[in-house]
Amino acid sequence: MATTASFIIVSRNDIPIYEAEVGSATKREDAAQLHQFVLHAALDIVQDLAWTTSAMFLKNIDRFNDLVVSVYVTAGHTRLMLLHDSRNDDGIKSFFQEVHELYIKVNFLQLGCSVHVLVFHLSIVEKN
Amino acid sequence: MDPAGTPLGKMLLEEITPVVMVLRTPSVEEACVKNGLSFVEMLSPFCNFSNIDVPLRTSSDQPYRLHKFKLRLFYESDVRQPNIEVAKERLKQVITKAGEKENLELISDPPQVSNLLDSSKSELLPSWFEYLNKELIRTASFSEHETFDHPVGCLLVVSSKDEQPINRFIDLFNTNKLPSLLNDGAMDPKILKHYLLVHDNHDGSSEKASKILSEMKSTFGTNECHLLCINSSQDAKMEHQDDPWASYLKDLMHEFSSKHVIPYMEQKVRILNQQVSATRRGFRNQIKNLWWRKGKDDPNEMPSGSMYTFSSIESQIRVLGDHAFMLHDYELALANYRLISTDYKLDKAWKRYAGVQKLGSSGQQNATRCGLWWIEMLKTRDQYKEAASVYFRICSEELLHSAVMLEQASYCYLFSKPPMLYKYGFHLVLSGDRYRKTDQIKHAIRTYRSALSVYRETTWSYIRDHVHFHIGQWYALLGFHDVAVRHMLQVLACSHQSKATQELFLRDFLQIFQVSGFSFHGLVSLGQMLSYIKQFDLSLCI
Repeated sequence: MATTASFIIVSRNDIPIYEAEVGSATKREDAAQLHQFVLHAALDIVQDLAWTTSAMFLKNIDRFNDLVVSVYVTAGHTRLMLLHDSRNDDGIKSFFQEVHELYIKVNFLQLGCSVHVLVFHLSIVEKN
Repeated sequence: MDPAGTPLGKMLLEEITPVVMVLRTPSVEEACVKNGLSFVEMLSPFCNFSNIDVPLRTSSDQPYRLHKFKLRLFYESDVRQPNIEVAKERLKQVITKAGEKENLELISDPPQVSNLLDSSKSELLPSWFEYLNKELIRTASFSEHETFDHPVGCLLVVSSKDEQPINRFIDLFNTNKLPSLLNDGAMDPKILKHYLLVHDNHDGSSEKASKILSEMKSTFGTNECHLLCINSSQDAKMEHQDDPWASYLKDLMHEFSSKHVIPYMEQKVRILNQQVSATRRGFRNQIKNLWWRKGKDDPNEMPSGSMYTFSSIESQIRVLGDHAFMLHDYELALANYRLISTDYKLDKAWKRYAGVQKLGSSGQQNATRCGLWWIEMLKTRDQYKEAASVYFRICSEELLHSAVMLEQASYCYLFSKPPMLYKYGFHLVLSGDRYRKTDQIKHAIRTYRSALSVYRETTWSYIRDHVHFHIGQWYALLGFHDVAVRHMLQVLACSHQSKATQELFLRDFLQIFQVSGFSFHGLVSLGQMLSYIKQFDLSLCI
């Protein structure tokens, strides 16, 4: 079944660091903007919730029509956000955890950034 | 707790008050018109009591006293839902007119976020929201669904000048002319009836009138009949304060309310309460079946499409709740409203209560009305985030309606503690998009401009492009080409967009720039412009 999934890594200053459409459905022209709007707006909800819990994985914190937002907050307050229409809590949680690991590795290796970003990108798409 | 002090409380006390239907002969109306007023206009000022001081005993054995009380008088021709199309058209005009803002403000820079957060609510909220919401609530009146609009009683009014007055009284309550509410089973047609004979002293002595009154009393009952003498002035207007016979009116309505309407309602509450309590034990299962049945095809449903008859348990509980509310027994009212929504998540109960699925467009109006009240309740308790989600929920396929609801939602997000600025921006964009779809370009610009306070310098590329591109297009539509170009420039560095989109951006930019031509006052240096274009895919250059 074709799923929609939009993934974004947001810095603690609310700046997007990395974006990728990771769903299996074909990419639509106007989907990208809607996805950004929804994810961006969800930051307010994450902000609200972040104070109330020490959990990193926050599932289904916001929704817009059929799309649901799940978030993974790192210790450095970087947010891994996923906009999805399927319900696969365990799958999503492990996806976040794996990306988080990769992200730490990439950050650690400061040199040759662009190569690592490419590798990172390929890994993300594969992980889905 | 007396809710009368809160803004919501005041509003509900004004609106959820018992309705009395007025049936009168043309002669009655003529007598009043001589004074420049309709019959209802003449009596209405005397129907508002700040301290009617009537003892009541509703559910418990504890008596209490009713102080504030109000009757709403309507002619039978008005006890019907306002024509939906006419109402919609009027609302559209209100919105269009509100859009005719000062152009200067429309093209000026949007405020900084810090200024936004420092401003008061009244400074930020468009002033026409309140009027629009009131109108939306009004258009949902007198549906079959909402029982507090159903008349609790009826005033039959005949003039002493009428021929065969007793027959006229009987004719007035002719079922053919009565509102459909009374005929189609939505409400109990057996309502309190009161007979009023109007005599204008200007027309001569009241001897004849007194005779008619005796006849009325022997036909309809001693306590149900009254004589009202008025004095038409030689000239037109009548002054309530100075007029000596105003006190007769006051006494009449006071007696009607305190000795007839209120006791009648009190009695109804006691009877219904007994009936409902008796069935309450098995009630939960019963109502569950009722609800689930309504979701599928219900063979017992009335063919007219009415959701229920007045004798059903559901209806009885509503009437009980509404009557209790109008008699200020809020505990009893709440207990009954809860009965309907017990066991269900707010979502489902909400949909059912508003009857959206069943009643089509009138269901949407009811949902809007319920929603707007619920929102007022939430706002009073500073629950702005929840209020925003209700605004979102009462959006429909009706685009202009949704535009206004979404905009109101955005402000709720702004006013929540802590403020949710990104939600504010997003809902403004959703709203503006719908304004544009209904050709309200000025409103579209207005909302997108407000959104720019949040999105002006955003690093989220698609968001930035979307807002700047569209507002640029719309400014150009209205002829503000300088401002349009300024916004279009923001989208030119868009290598993240698809080729088709980049072409579109460039083409529109060039078109607008061409039109602005010599009026473009070098706000941006040519060098800056070139540096933007440099970031393009070279194959796009002409």
